[in-house]
Amino acid sequence: MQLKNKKLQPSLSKPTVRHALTVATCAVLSGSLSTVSAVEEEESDLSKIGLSTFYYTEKDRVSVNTTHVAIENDLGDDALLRANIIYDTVTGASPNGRIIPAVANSSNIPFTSASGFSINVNDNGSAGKRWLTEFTDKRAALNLSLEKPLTRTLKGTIEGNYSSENDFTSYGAAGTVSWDLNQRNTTITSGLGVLNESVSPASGTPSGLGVSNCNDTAPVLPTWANCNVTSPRFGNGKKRIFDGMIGATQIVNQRTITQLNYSLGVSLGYLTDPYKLISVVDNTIDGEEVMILYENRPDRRTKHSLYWKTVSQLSEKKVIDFSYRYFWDDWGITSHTFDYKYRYDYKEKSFLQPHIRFNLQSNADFFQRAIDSSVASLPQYASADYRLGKLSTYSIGMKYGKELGVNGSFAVRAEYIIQSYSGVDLPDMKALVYQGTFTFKFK
Amino acid sequence: MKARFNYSLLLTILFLSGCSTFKPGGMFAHEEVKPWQKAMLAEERMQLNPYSLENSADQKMFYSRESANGGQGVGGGGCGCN
Repeated sequence: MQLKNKKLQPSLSKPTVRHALTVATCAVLSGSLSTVSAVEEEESDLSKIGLSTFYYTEKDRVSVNTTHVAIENDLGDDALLRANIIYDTVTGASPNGRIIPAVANSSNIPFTSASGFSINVNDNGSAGKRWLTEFTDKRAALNLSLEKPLTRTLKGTIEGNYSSENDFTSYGAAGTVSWDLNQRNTTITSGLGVLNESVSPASGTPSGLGVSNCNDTAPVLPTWANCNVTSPRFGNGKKRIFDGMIGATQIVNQRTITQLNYSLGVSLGYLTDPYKLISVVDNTIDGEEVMILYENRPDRRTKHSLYWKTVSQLSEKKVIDFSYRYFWDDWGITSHTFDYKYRYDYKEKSFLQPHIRFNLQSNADFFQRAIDSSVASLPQYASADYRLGKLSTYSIGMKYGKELGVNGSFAVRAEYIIQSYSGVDLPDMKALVYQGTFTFKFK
Repeated sequence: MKARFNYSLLLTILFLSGCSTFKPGGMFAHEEVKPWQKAMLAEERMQLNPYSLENSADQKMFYSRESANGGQGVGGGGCGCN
């Protein structure tokens, strides 16, 4: 039930009895339950083009530049063809899972990298920080979708997408059907999607929990360690992701719309990150790293989420938009995500929008900071990827938007993000985000 | 833990400032809405996803830094960032 504001009569902001009667008469005579068509000018829809430049930078870590072009072409009869073209460049250093030594920069210990030709790794770590891996990458993505009414109350959307990085490809398709009922005050939406992904490090994917490098020799090393054999290499890591969702959108009153979705996702295949490592530490000596293994994750993951969103107009100048998502999966991760935006139209055609978001996440069952060298045998699965650990992310931002003439709009925003970790050595991640967008509607 | 509590409290206050009541006139007070009463709901700022360019950037940004993702629907391309 995405109501579209095509071109509203200027008087709608202050409705009069005469105007309401006129609109009501038109609505009845038209024989259509479409609310939008009742209040808009009988003009054809407008096509739209949107441009975005996005810059994300973490302190001492990764920077991302994204250019996004979105085109929406009106095919008539409420059918829309959309195309999204995205290009990313990524540079910087990312945590690789190894522990931070007690005395930082004390030594540069080389390790066998799983990196491909696209990932330019400094084996000594980033600026001597061996828990960080430097890399560069580029990503291009294309998404095409077609939205079309199927009947008077049913609408279908199909989409296809493809993205490519130097060492990663992804392609997939999805379909969604929306059913309007209750005089279009309620919409039931259901969708299915499938995604095929492949990661292809130049030297192949390592064996899960295979040896990357040994820093010490016997008897410091555990008895199960075999440093004469580093991990064998395999072909590309492939996975397939199935997603399904069902949701309901409800118009609560003239100022409020609310949505509740349930989503289910099943991922099958190679779900391990071939670039992530995990340290083996000797806690009986000094707790330092004695060898390095590649991480290993299960080859199946089932994810669930409940997502609730509400948009409400508090007054002519104030609109709030908030959402909450509860996420859980069979790896043991649960997550709460809150998002709140408060839009204030401080003058005609200009607005400010403060934003706050936070995410609280628990760790996966197999997540651990490091493997203790005293264990009799290795666990089946282990990862020190901080994203599978307990963490909290806070984001605060501000957006300024302005309409340019009748058909154009412009917006800039800035966000500050801080991410804190439990169970890993990493310091807090601090990031800044800037984005500028421009949209223009045309016939 | 204290910081987490403070953030939660702040969000709760923000939330309550906008939807303090379910009583008549409140945000969630249910009213039957006729087709000709939806002008306000048709405004761009009242859409559930009014700014797709920003939403797309946010989705990818948090997808690469957190384990949880999704909820808004199906589709969208993949990314080697997670």
